[in-house]
Amino acid sequence: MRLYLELAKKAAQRQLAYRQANLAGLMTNLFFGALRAYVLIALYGARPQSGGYTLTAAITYTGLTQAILRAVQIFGWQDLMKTVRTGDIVSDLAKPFDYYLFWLAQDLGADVIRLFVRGVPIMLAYSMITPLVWPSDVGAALAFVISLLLAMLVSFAWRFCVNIVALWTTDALGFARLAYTVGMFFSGFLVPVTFFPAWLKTVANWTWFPSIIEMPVEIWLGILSGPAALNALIQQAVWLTVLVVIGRLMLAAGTRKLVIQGG
Amino acid sequence: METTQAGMGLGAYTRLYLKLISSRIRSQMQYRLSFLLDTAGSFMGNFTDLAALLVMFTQVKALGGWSLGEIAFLYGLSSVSFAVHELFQGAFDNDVFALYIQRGLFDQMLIRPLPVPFQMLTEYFLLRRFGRMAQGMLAFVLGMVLAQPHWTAAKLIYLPVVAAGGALFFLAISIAGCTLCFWTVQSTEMVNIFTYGGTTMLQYPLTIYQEWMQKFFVYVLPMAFINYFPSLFFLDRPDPFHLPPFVPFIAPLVCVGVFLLALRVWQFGVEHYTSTGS
Repeated sequence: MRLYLELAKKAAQRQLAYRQANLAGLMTNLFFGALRAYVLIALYGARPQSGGYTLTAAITYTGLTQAILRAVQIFGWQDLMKTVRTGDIVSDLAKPFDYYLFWLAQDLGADVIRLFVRGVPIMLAYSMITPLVWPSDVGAALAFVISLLLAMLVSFAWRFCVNIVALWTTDALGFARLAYTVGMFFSGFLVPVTFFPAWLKTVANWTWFPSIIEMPVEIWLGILSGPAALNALIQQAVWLTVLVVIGRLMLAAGTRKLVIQGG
Repeated sequence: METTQAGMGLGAYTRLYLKLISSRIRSQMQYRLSFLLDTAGSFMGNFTDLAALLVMFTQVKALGGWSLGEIAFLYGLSSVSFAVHELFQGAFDNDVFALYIQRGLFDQMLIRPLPVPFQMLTEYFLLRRFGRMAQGMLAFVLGMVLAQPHWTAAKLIYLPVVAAGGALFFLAISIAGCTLCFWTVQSTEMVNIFTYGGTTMLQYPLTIYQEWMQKFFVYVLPMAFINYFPSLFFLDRPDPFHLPPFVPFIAPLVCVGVFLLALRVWQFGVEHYTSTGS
């Protein structure tokens, strides 16, 4: 456990080192947040209540999604895949630790830092410009924190599966880009899943993608509260379990193949 | 350097350009499945953006006074221009160019007997960028079908000119963004505000944004000329800014002007460039 904490800390420090990049990224996130907020303001100008969101909730949604997008890495991640191409994966697999936890620790370490250097400033900036919806009580805030942590874990487990495909094909990068894009849409990052037409909502809710964005955001907004919030947390936990099992099975199958080839 | 280029005319450059680009295309075709997936990914990546727009219009009939068809038109025009720019930008991409500076690849370009911008443009030609183009076209067709603009010969001739002008404008931003790398060495995500952010912003009518943003994109960095002002003409919409009636027609001139300005900035950067030494 100490070892994984150390890995997480190292990844966090690496992430902190890029000050200029973090600042530039922050500005970009804010700009996109503003764009999306104005589109929604125009939308509410034509219709004051959409999908159970008030205008303030919709604006908070744009801020919150911009704030957590780096922490849940909604644009994807290819680091593991790259080690397959360079061959570094062979030495990583040979190291005396659990390969899955090795990546998870580093991923979480960097994610937590991103949450603080990218997420917190965005919410602060938003709160100075416009009224926002905040978690209504300690219970809701706590549920949000748990949900966000689960979102980061589900996202990792999903990205691990996508990356590990590289053990079978050299065309994994194209597959990954496609997969992340589809995931981004169904996560509710571009438009809340609540706004989807019924049939599309059904499709989205049969995937793990809303676990990555929609659920933590709606818990924050209070749209999911009480039993509904608990239900969302359970769904996230179930998806996490399923994706971890799939990822580990893929890893086991992939490494067996690697060994047979004498890699 | 100038003397060695003296022998090459426009024709020779065109032939060389086509030769280099076709070799870039052939190399991408080696990994056919990857290419297909990449293009599909690029298409989907932008299609989801369009899907988001469609989802929003399940809630309302108009945004900022524009119908779905009109916004799709605006959206398509911006996306197509951006896609054309992406296709032709070569190494004029902030992320790519930062690596060129870091690894000393740019230094190699400086000593080759070809103009540096020419080399930059021929470094890459990513076919997967057609994905965005397809998506832009789709939005555009949707806009045509739904908004039913009243087409005249003048409009039909003017349309491709506007799209090309928009591509030049986006290229100008990418070039200016790369120029920053001479000083920052790292890529800077800030450029994304004007490239990706720019095209995203232009997908909606300018008037939905706050006033200072509108003014900025009309008078300071006049991106409104990429699609917004020409679209007022194509769609026969009144100009909420009450600018002179010739404004939709100077769009290509504005775009060319911005492009030339960006080239000057780039030239300035090259002259003041000191290698990282790697």
